[in-house]
Amino acid sequence: MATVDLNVYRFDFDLTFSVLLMNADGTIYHRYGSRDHTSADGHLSQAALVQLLRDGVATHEAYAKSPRPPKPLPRRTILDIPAFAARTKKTKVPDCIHCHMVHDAEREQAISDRTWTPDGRWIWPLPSQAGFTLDVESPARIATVRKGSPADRTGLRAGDVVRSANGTRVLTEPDIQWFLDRVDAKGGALKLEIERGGEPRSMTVTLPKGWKEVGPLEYSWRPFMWQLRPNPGFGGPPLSADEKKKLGLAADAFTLKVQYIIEWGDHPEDGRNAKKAGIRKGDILLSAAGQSDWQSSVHFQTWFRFTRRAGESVDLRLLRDGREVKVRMDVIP
Amino acid sequence: MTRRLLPALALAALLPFSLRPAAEEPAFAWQDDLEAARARAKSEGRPLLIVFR
Repeated sequence: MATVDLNVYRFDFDLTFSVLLMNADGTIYHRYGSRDHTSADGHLSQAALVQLLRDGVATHEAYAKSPRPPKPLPRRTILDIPAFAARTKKTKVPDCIHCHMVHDAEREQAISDRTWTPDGRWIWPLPSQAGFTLDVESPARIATVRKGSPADRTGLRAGDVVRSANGTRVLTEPDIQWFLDRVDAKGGALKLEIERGGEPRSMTVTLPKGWKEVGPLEYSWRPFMWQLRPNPGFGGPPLSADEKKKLGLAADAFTLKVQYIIEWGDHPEDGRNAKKAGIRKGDILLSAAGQSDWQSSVHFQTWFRFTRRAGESVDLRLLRDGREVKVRMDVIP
Repeated sequence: MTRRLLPALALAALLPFSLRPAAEEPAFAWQDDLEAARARAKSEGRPLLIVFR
């Protein structure tokens, strides 16, 4: 990503795969690529990508009749983000700058500029946040509408085909996400033109305060999660099925083997705090604050960041050398 | 696995376009060489398809 102009090429940088279909003048026609926490490729389909390319050519032909090039902006790469530039002065520019590092750098800059708010974490919301899902094979078609959701209250139905959002032709899920991303987390509206039974209809989905928020599990796939605070200061993988069996733990029990305690980076105090509480490498975390229903280590990590507050303490139940140990850890900012 | 498979999926999706007139085919670029591809797309009046992975 080192040379990518961030004023032109915008997409959900947390994704491992993303496609832009655009005009050389900088107009983005369509995007392809999205996901949820259940898998990296569950929202992708080869048939849908082929269809996007076919329909996208039609978008290009229509645009060529009355082009409206975007106002050119100065070229801006990740290396032009002052917070990232300052960081790489201390260390060095990584050989490979990953896409997700752009989100991290922009957040770091927003913190430096004092423009960061906790709502800044709710990026690229899926249509399910508004109450509808799209057909993976035909991604402009609504697959489901959740009862009682904003989409349901608007009158959207399964089978409706979304033709445009806020007046712009859309063909894919991230095309719609682009416009959802621009609706305030405190509430707003999205105008959709849909087709039902061959007839066009206009709908306005009203989105209430907090509509962008998702739980720790739904957020846990985002690399962006690791930048959020507070941080427990330790982490590691789950135990294998054999390891659980040897320790007499249920096969579906949550476990996290403490493989590392943070001693590096911007916040080594997180690791010192964990050590001070009595956490050691090799400990097995069984529960925290009386909870243990996490599906993965990253689910726990996201839960900690979303639900714990600096100044509180959290009780942890650990297994050490086959015996249960309880520790209380302060949560630090 | 996803990182390996998805670019292949994108390339497979492009195959049908090899049969279309050149002006209708999107010019293809990986994120690493997109500015050259963008210049090519501009001179040929073609849409540009970029794959980031």
